[in-house]
Amino acid sequence: MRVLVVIPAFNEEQALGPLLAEAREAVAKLTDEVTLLVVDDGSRDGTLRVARAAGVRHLRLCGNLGIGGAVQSGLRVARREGYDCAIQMDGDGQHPPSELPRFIEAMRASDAPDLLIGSRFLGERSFRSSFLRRVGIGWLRLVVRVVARARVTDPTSGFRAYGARALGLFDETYPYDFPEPESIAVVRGAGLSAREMPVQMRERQGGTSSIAGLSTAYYMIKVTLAVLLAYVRTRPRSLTSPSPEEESYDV
Amino acid sequence: MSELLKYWIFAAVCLVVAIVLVRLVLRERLMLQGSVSYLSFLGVLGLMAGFPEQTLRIARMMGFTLLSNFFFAVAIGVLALLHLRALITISKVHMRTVALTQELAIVQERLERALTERGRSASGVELPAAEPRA
Repeated sequence: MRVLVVIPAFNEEQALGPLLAEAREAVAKLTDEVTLLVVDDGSRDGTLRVARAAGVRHLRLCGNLGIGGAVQSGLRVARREGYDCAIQMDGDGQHPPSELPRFIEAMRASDAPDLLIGSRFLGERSFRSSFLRRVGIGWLRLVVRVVARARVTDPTSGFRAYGARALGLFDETYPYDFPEPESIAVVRGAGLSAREMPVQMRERQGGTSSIAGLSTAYYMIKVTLAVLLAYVRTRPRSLTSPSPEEESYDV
Repeated sequence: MSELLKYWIFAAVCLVVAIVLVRLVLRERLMLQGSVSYLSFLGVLGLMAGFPEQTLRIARMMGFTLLSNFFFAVAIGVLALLHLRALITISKVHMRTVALTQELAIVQERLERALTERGRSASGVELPAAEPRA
């Protein structure tokens, strides 16, 4: 199985080096062909230098497109180069690379979903988010459940794997900012399957979160509206050629 | 100051703005395609100010008592439409910029890899059979 690990990074020079070393170690024992791809989202620090020094593949975006644009760049590479699946992993070290083999194993299974979301709220909990963040996640969980009729415990998780059909879908359209909950609605609207898997997560190892202060309110309003619109926008596409297989959802 | 003169001043303001717009187009800081609707709007507003009696007649027909209210209603309505059009254009440009930025990065990476591989083969180092494994 050919797997592309997409690591979007914006000003992550501190966390990226150790993360890449860890990721290499985690995939070294696998028989699958695993390639790491760092997408430098127009960083102003030494993120690109760290990726180069680590000897991994890297895309250098000439401007800051935001997480959505960076992730989509990686997914486009995966689609064009015929990878079987792509795994998205944050460049801030929040997602432990030791989980990569589990993702690959799940995507190799015959019943692999099109989108596999790593949830920090399923199974044994590794670290606890702040109260406000948990309230926000609770709200988005409700929005995704009501609008997209998907039971997702961790709609904001950026630790996820995309199968070939999801890669095709996201090559066409991928939300630009705060894309995670919206992309679930896109997947649901297009009639693809999605599933969650328990994963361990940890505190970010460097850099700062883009969601803080006033941007939290903007985030909540924007994402709520975006989930609704994304589901409505992608919905007709699924009606054109629904197969029985496509109509079943795991989440 | 007579009522007519007041409106002529308004027409003059429209004319000045139109001249500024045309200058921007001439200096290629604005595209003519995007400014035609704005210039047309200024032209209509200028005509309304230049011929207030005829405009008042139209305003009364549409239920406006005061000519100024009619001016404001027309201006706000048209400006809202122009703003919407500008938003659509900005969104399109933004999406194209994102796509271009992504394409550029992908092509650049391919080029760098091709050059690296060519360098390796020139120096006699064996090329990898498939994608470089991380």
